Amino acid sequence: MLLLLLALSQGGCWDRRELEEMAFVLALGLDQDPEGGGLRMTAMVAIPNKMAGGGQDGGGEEDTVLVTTARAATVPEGLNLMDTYLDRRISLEHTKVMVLGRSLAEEEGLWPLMDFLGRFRSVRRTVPVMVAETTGEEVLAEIQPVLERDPHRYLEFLPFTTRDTGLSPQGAHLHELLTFTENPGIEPVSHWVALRKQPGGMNTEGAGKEGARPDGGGKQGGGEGNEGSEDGGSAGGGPGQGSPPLPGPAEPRGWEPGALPRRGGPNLEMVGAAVFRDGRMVGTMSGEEVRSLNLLRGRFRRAFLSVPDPLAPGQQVALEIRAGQAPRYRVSLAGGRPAISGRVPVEVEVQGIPSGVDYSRPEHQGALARAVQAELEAGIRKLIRRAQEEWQSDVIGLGLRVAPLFPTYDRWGAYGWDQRFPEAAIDIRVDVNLRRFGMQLQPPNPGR
Amino acid sequence: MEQGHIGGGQAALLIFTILATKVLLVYPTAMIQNGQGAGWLLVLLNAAWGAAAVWVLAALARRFPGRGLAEVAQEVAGPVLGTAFGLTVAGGLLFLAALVLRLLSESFIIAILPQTPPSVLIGTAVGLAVYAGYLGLEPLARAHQVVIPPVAAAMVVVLLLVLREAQAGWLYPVLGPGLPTLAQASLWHAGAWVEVVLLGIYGHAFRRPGELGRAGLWGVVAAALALAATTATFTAVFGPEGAAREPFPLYHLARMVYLGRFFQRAESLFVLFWISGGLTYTALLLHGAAVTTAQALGVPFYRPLLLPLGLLLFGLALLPGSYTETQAWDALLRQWAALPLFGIPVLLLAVGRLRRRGGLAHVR
Repeated sequence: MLLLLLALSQGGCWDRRELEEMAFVLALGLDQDPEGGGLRMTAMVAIPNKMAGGGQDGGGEEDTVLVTTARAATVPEGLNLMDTYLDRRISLEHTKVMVLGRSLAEEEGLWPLMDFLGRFRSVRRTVPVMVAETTGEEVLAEIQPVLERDPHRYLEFLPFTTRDTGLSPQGAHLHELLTFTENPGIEPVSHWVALRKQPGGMNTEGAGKEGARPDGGGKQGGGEGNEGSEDGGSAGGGPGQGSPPLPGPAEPRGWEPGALPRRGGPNLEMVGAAVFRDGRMVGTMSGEEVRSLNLLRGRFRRAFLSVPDPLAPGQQVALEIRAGQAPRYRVSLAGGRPAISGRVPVEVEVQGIPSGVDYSRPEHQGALARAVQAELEAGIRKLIRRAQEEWQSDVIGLGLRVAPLFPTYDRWGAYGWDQRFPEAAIDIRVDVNLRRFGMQLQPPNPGR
Repeated sequence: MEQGHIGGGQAALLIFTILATKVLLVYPTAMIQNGQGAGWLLVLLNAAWGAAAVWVLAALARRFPGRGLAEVAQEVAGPVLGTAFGLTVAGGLLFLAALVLRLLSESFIIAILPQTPPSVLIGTAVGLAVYAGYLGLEPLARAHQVVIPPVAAAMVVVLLLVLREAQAGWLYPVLGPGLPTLAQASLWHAGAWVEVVLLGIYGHAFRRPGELGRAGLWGVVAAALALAATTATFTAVFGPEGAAREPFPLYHLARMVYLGRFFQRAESLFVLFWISGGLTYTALLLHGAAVTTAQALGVPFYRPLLLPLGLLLFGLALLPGSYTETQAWDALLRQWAALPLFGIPVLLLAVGRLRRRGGLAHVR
């Protein structure tokens, strides 16, 4: 043990780094340089004395981070450049999130960055990766969280919400992006984010400052937002007849970031996913499609879902769906065309029945289960159709189910799964199990 | 010759450690480069050569009980050839220890201490190895019993914690490049198990010569399972393409541990693996080289040899110009050392039988 302690003391001299000598990048934005020939690298860097715990000593309402952008041929060169004016040694060890600009993801793709991201010591592969509708620089510079004081904390927490919504890809971190890109059988997706662009500026939309309650009477946490902006104030109003509309997606539940039907809150939205094929972004999927993707990948945890009430047309039933067992797939290559059938078990808990139909009665449960099954299968069919026809990208990872049918790599490679995937016959069934009915048995009876 | 005695369990643990130290090096990556998704299968096939070497060494120990490899060589082949063989084995062990120490130091520098000169890390390890060697085989084996089980348990925890990132599909096609290619690659990498020769060197330390074979086999099987499990996990987490490019499998896996915000950065555990594995490996091989040299030269004490051999080890470790050069030397040494280190014990056994040395003749 003494020997171990002696050896552990080795790090004390040459590699000594004092915390006050370091500048920690909490979020890293990477964009294509519009002037060509390099990258635009944006770093959200912690200001330690402002993050010291809030309050007066901690800096109150002052920014806890600084955002700086540099143009460089490579990321290490950009870091070097930032070192020259930040007076501290910049480090990526504590980077919580990476934001790629859309043009970089679409035009240059991941391949030019992959070597650096895999090779550079301080880049952690567990960092979530987001693709921004515009640029990483814009997202990092303009993001305005409400519940969190620190923008990096907001960015760090946001991907965690997918465990409860299923509307963003589960596990879309750098490691997955890199490994799914370079290995056969599955293609990656990443988080997909956008800033809200609205009349009156990014932080105002009708009800005073962003984050204020729609009735205009609320105050933003931390004391801001009580005055309202000029634009927003004029358009604001209480809910009800005077309330301005909340435009949403063209398709029901086709949620996309930057266009959620909502008012108030932070100016960033993360829903849906950016789809990659062979290292380049080839499209985006909506939140509903991502939920189907999470189910098919076996990554789904839980989410709330509304389905049309099968016994009361025009009404919806609110449900919570949870992952059951892992999806099971069967693959057949007979006849030259790959045929894949799968069963995805989900468990359902009823959360609200506005129609008053008593779904706790066994004779009604079959209808509700079929309605949930139809809703989920429709979403899955839509995702598969887009993956096969539009993106031609096996984001589901069905190739990983096909590979075991081949004895050797040569034969698996010769089969050419990437070319076969678009023509595969894929049939997925959802097995719905109605497990629970919330905190009460029968719904209230309004006629009584 | 001052001698310590070790039990079968201690010997198995020692053999397990020196063989499984490869988990910190590029060995799993090399197996994946050759076996793709079937890298884990290649490890098991490759381990068969280690088991075969144990079988030969066990037969030799039964025939020449209570004697080390160099002493057996002198008895069978005469003083000149026997001494030459003993010195060759000692030199091979020393060179192997130097290259592995350099590889471990370089990987430590690349991953954790980028500014620290390799000479400092190597010098510290050699100093500690000389001290450990001076204490002798028995204290080394006992320290092992305390240190290695928790380290091995920590490695298992790391492997379990990254399973959530694993894609079982990347372990297929199950035969990788095909069985003939795997068999060929297993032979080509047979030198990866060359360290089992230590069993022969420590033949004198077993109270019951029959234990040597059992201990060796347990050590080889346990190391093979540990290496195969790491290779399989590494392949399933990084994919066959990615894993074939990452030189420090266990370190990369440890960095992937992420249980929310509560448990992450498990690579700090890796420092423990590195130090315990590296020090044990260096100390044992240095001790083995000193004992063999003493046996070959007929010197009654090995301890005075530790410091000069340690200095030689230090110098040899600094010879290669870079990490990749060290790797190339290590591959070359293992490839060509495999033949004498596996072949000569077979030859000793055969010649011993022909010349009626050892065995019943010895008893008579």
